[in-house]
Order: sequence, then structure tokens, then C-alpha cells
Amino acid sequence: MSAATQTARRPAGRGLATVAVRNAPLLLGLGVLLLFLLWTRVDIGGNWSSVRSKPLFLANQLMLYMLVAIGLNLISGYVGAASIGHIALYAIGAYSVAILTTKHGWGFWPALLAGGLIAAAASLPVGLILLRLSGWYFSVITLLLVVVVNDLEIQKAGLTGGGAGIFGLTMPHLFGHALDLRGYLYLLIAVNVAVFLLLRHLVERSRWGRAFVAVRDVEPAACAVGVHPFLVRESALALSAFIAGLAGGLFAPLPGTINPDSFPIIDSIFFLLAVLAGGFGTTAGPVVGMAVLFSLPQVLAEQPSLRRYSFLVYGLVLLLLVIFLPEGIVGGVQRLWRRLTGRAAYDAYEVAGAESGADAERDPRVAAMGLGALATLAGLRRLAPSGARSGTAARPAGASAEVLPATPPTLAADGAAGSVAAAEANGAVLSAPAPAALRILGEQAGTDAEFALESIDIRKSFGDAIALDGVTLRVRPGTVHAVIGPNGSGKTTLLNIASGFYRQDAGQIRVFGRRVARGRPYRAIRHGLARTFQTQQLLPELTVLENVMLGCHARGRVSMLDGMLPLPHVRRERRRFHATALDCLDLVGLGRGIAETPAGLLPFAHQRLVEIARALAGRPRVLLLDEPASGLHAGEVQAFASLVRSLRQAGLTVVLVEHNFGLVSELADTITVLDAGAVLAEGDFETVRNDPRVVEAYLGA
Amino acid sequence: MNSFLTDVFIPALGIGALYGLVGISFNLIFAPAGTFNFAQGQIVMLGGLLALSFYQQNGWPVLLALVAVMAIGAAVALAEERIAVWPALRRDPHGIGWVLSTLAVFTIIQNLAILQWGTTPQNVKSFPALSVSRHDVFGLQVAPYHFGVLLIAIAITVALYLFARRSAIGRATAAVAQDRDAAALRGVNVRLVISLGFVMGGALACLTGMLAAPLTLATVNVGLTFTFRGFTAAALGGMGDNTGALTAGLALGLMEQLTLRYWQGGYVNLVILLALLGLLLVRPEGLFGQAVPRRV
Repeated sequence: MSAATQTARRPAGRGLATVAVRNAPLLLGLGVLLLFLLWTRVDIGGNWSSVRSKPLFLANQLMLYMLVAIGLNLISGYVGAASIGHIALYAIGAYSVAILTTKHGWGFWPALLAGGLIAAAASLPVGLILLRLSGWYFSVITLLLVVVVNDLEIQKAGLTGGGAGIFGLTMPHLFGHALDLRGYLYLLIAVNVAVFLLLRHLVERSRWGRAFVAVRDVEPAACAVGVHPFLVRESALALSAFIAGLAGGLFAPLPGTINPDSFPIIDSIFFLLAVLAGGFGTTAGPVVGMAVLFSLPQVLAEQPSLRRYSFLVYGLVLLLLVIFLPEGIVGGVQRLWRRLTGRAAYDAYEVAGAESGADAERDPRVAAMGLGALATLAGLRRLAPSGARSGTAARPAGASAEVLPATPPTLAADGAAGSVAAAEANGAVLSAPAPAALRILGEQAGTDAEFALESIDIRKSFGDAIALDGVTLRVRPGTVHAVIGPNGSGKTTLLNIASGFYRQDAGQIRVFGRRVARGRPYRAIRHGLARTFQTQQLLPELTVLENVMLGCHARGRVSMLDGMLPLPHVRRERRRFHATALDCLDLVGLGRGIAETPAGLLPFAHQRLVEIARALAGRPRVLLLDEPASGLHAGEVQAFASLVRSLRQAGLTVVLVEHNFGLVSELADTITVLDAGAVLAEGDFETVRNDPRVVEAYLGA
Repeated sequence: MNSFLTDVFIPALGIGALYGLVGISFNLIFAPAGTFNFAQGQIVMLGGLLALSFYQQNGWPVLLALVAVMAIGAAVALAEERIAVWPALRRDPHGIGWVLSTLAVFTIIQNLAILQWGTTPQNVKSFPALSVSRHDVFGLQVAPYHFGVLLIAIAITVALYLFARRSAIGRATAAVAQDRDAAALRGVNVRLVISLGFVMGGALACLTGMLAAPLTLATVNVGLTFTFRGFTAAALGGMGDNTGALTAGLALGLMEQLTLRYWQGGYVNLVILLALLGLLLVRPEGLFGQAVPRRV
């Protein structure tokens, strides 16, 4: 068992050293703050409560902005919807606290909570835009929100004090003591650390982190594994808005008076700028970015000669960052770190796998240069269920001999033979999945429905074009059912309707007798229906394991609120997903060795297998495969065929939409031929092949 | 009734036509590039301020001023496309890079305009035949300005329609709007089409700013308002649909005038935002746009 696999087995990563390393940026930041506090104690003397003690006031301000940035990163970094409206949410929080405390006699703390909740509530109608429109619409609407909130601040003078604003806010009391600026700073630091840790836990330790990124980058795949994209976006926005409202509420007592000028739109752009500088979608990004950039507005405001250029400076910095450092400081450092540390398997993979491995098997010239054997070797290692990563670094590949084929890879001297050997090897590995791996399909038995999947009289047209004209298809449980037909015959449309991505005009889809709601792709997996896509839908930056764990999403119970806390059931769920994902990697023949490799580095054929593993991780009863063999070469197609056979053996129902007639003839128990949106013929391979209409449709006789 | 016509309806036509034109200028960029230009309102604002300098202060003939203003608008938008939009768009067309970079251009233009013109709103005298003061027209006391702007907006919409249908580059733009990759495969120079979209969008935005100046005053503060209204017109009309944008712009003008008359000016933005949100929830493709099936 390699070291990497062992680490993978221990997801919690206990041990003081590990905890220290993981929290290094946090500890470093707290250290700097501590030094700052010591310095201000020396520097300022006793006069801490005065707003004039500028360093302390600014430190408070920095903590508030950092809080907003941490929240902003959630919706704009992880979920990918850039909000220009966070200053409005901040203002809403501040005004809520000001109004509730000065006019309604509320205490500060309940008013603060109300401020956060009101900001979250205000964000919800804006988030509705994400229901059916893309992210940039959301960005514009959030910009409009800032304008409208500013209007209302001025207009509703009875409530907000109009242009003059609200005066006379006092610093809150905590445990009976009035907080001075220093005490307040401690409080804000504590809030920042708490929010940072909660969100980090949510993103890194719960199923929601993967769901966020999937919704951002591969929405169809997110739906297919049971993530409801809109609910995820809307909840992330509400959480982000709550944090912004909280920060605004905490801000209100600091200056003691707030007015519409306290919340200029440029601050919204500054928040985005800071998160961008740190790195969107990285946990430390907003903290680092805000720490680096916070002095910028101060410097610009202090220098009379520079003050006039402050917008210009923001704009130029923003522009330069977008063009030259779009991943931000933290993102850039992470990339550099990956390059430098070059974990053994990662490098070996990048060199042998991604380049020669994929190409040499196709390109005879590369093979002739003697790389064929190397490529084959790499291929075998990748397919070995365990020990692959250590094999590349220190141990010979033969270490995992119990699953390797008898043919020694070194015999594959020339390229062509190498490919054949690889194909056989794939077959050998794939036809005998580890018994442990088949566990995940163990729930297949015990259903008494006559059909696994039924499409009953499905009709669908796009505008004037009729795509499906009453297609009825019945798939028996435990069979491989192929749907073939010429281009434009409606195969993929049918698959998209069955999995809920398209809404049929008429007709029903039933899975094991249960009717599936129209046009709700995120529900399909709950009916036991999983699918893959024609185009790659992986998250290339995430590891193979994380990608497959995304497939477990629908089997999770951890809510977004629970996901923020290190609760036992959150840890249990993660362990469970982890084990399932590893089993799925075994099952598709990729093995556990590549679990920690970034998915984007795998060759094409293996990315396909990762997608199948992800589909299997949802423990489906019916698996829909959309042209799984396109782009694979002969050896890979054979390996794939063995995989499908073993899945069928395990009781899974497989529906195959495919062009490759050879593969279909070999695998399918039943074949349905579609032509021009209708069923042309159905039956086993011999029946279909001898049907004159099929011959006509295919050969154009 | 007459006062409704002269105080609400007819001003709504003129102002609405301006909003429609900004909406169309968004469309000209959106169709080929698939991006929304957050700096567009600032280019409109620039048009008004340039008109102030050229036409009002330097006394240039109105046509010369018009050509110069449009040329500068085109140049600014082209520079924006080359420097800010294309690098981000090429890296990731679906990411938030271009949102941030056009926001950057928004702040840069804002600052440069303040440095050049200051923040005090200034009056720009009406253009010939586009007087903003009221005259007796068919027995009604109205400003010819509103009719003139409406006619210009209709003429531009028709011209753009013909351009899109009849000219090769117009058809190429439509092809890029529909499927960028397929258009590129068929030999369309996508980069050029996108640049042209920005050039036309920038020129039209600046022209609109100049047209608006006698009414709104020339000031650095109108940018955000025009972004607000122009986007709303474009989105309500259906992104990419110019006739829709003009129609929606007129509806917005009416909505604004009604709010001003029967409620308060401070609520205009609120009313428009609520109307926009409500409509987009029911019809995300806008009033006149066509539903596009999602690709899987």
C-alpha cells in the first residue's frame, strides 16, 4: 500500500503537525495581528476608545472588509456568480442595526443578527435571476441593487435619516463591559476566524464544496449527480449576504454615524478586486488579497496628490490582475507549489501518461522511437488497482502482481504489440473487478418491476423541427440496451429527456415503474438513473477521487449548515463517500493509485472511465451512456466493453447511445434503431441487422 | 388628458428612445461577443461630455462634432475590447474575467472623465431641429426634441436591421452570435466580427450620450443610470433583439415618467428593477426574444 493511498485512507489527516501545516496561513495571519496589537498598545497609549486612534480604527475596518471578502468569495469564487452588490448588502446590515438600535430600542446583538438576516433576505429576490439566466445577468442585477439601495437610503428619510443619515450609535457592550476599539478588534478577529473556519469546513470537508465548483464549471454534470443548481446558488448567495450584512452591522457603531456616502459603489468593486488579487475560489484568497490591498485606499486617500487618481488606480490594478494574474496570489502560489513539489505520481503521470501514454498508442512514429513500451507500461500501471503511484517512483510495477496480466509489459517491444498487450491487459483487469468493488452495485437485486426504464410515447419538437415523434422504448432490468441511429435521429434527445435535461412535449418516462418528473435533471439520480455525457464533464483541477466523490452527492444527508461544523455525521459521510469512490475506481478498472491525481491530467480514455465511476458512485440502477466509445481507439473500446459486461453481470441495467456498430453488436442484448424521431426496428443484433428498413437507413440503398 | 400627453407620454417617447438606443448599443456588443459591457454607460456619459467640449465650448459644427464624438466612442470601445475583453474572453468565455475587466474600464473612464471635466453638471444647448424647449406642435405645447430623438432611434434600428440582413458582415455577425465555433469553421473572422461589434456599440453609445446631453445635462454621473436603463431595455426586449430593445426602452421611458408624475423620482430605479426581475423570472428570454434550448 503506497503512502499516498494511506493518506487517502485517512481523510481527517489527524496529527498536530498536519493540523499546523494546514492552518499555517491562519496562524501566520494571527501572528501578524498579535504583533500589530502589541505595537498599537505601545504606540497609542491609553486613548483607545477614541476614533482618532487611527491604526486601531483601520484595523477594525480591515477586519470588516475581510469578512465581506470571505463571504464574497463563496458566491463569486466557488459558485462563480460575481456579485457587485455586496456593498449594498453591507449597507443593509449597517442600516438595520442603526435603525433597530437607535429608533426601536433593540440591543446591539439581536439587531446584528437581524441585520444579517435582512441582508440575506434582500439577496434572495436578486438570486432568483440565477434560476434561469446565466451569471453575468446576476452581476448586472447586483449592480442595479446598489443603485436602488442607495436611492432608498436617501428617499426613505423617515427611516434612514435621508442624506444626513443616522447619528448616535454607541459601541456595544459585551459581558457587561462597553467595548473600546481594541476590544472590538478582538471581537472582529474572532468573528473573522470563526467565519473563515466555518466556510473552509463547508467547502473542503462537506459534499457542498464539490457541488459549488461543479455548479460553476460543469452544471450538467452537477445536475446528473443530483445537485440542484439553483438551490445551491441561492443558498450560497444567502449565506454570503448574511456575512456581508453581519459585517455591515458590526461596522455601524464604529463611526457612530452612517449615511449613504458611507457605502460608495466603488467599495463593491474594491471587494471584488481584493478577492481577485488573493484568488477566487481559494480558501485563503480573500484574506490574503484584502491584507495586501487594504492599504491601497488609505494610501490614496492620505496623499492629496493621489486622491484624484484613486478610481484610476483601482481600475488599472483590476485590469492588470484579470489579464496577468487571473488566479490571484494564492492560486498562483498553489500552481507553483504543485510544479515545484512535483509529487512523484503527478510528474510521472504528466510525462508518461498524458503525453506519450495517450499519443504513442496512436502515433506509430512515437512508438518507433521506443516509447511504445514505456507508454504501455504507464498504461498498465494506471489500470492497476493499487500500488500504481509508488510503482512509478520506487517499486517495480510487478509489485501488484495479483491483478496484473501474465504478459510482462517489457515484452511489448514494438508499438503495435504494445497496444494489443495494453488492450488485453485492460480486458484482464476489467473483466474481474475486485469483489469488494462490486459491493456498490449490491443493491441491484430484489426489484420486481418488469422494466428498468420505459419511455412511453415521447414527443419533442424544437420550434418547427420534430425531434421525437412518439418514441416508446422498454428496457428490461439487467440488460444492455443499445439505442442506435443516424445523426439527427433523436438518440441523444431521447437520452436527455429520459434523464430530465429536456422537457418532453408529451409522453412519460418511468424508472422501475415510477414516473419521473419532466425537466428535472437533478431528480433523475434519486430514481436510480445516472448518466454520462458526450463531452467531458470533469473538474480538471480536482483530484480523480474528488470527481468521483461528487457522484455520491445525492446519497448525502449533510445540510449546508451542518457542513460548516466538524460534526460526527459530517465526518462519517465523508468517509463513506471516500470508500464508495475508491470502490468505483476499482470497479471501472482505474484503481486507487490515481485517486490523488488531478483529473485533468488523465488521458482521454481514462477521463471517460472517471466519468463512469462518478455515475456509478450514485449507486444507480440504470446507467445511461451517451456515445461512450467515441474518441476511443480499438484497445480502449475492448476494455470498455469488458467493463460494461461486468456491470451487467453485477445486475446493472445499461442503456447505450452509440455510433460504433461493432461495439453495439458485441454488447447489446437488445437494440433499438431510431430514425427521424421514430423507432425503426427493435430486437437482438441479428434481427435488427437483417431488417430491410435498417439496411436502407444506414446504407442509403 | 392633454397634460398627460404633453407632460408624460411625449417626454416618455424621447427619453425612452434614448434608453432604447443604449439597449441597442449593448446588443451590438452582446450579439457577437456574448459579453455585457459594464463600461457602456460610461461611454454614453463620455458622449455627452465630448459634445459639451466640441459643440458647446469650441463651437464646432454639429455634424463635425457628431462624427468626432462617434469616432472617439468607437475608439474607446475598440481599445476596451483589445485590452480588457478579449484576453479574458479567450481564456474563459464563461468565467467572470470579462465582468471584472469591463468593470475596471468603468472605473478608469469615470476617473479620467472627472479629471477632464470635473463633477459639476453643465448645460448643453440644443442641436438644430432638436430643441428641448416647448413649441406649439399640432396645438400641443411639446418639445420637438422628443420626436426627433424617436425618429433617429427608429432610423438607426431600421438601418441596423438592413445591415444585419443585407451585408456580408452583418450575416457573419449573426452567424457568430448563433455559434461562434461553427462560424469560425466556415471561414468567418470571429475576432474581426467581435471588434466590429465593439466599434459599432461604442459609436452608438457615444452618439446617444450626445443626443441625451441637452436633456440630462453633461455630467459624469449619468453613466450608471444609462447602464441601468440600457441593460433593462436590452434584457426586457430580449438580448440581441434591437426592435425589442427600442420597444422596451419606450416602455421604460413611460414607466419612468409615470413614476415621476404619480409617485416620486427616488423610486424610479426601484420600480424598474422590480419590473425587470418580475419579467425575467417569467420570461428569461425577454419580451420578444426566443427561448433557446439548453445545450447538454
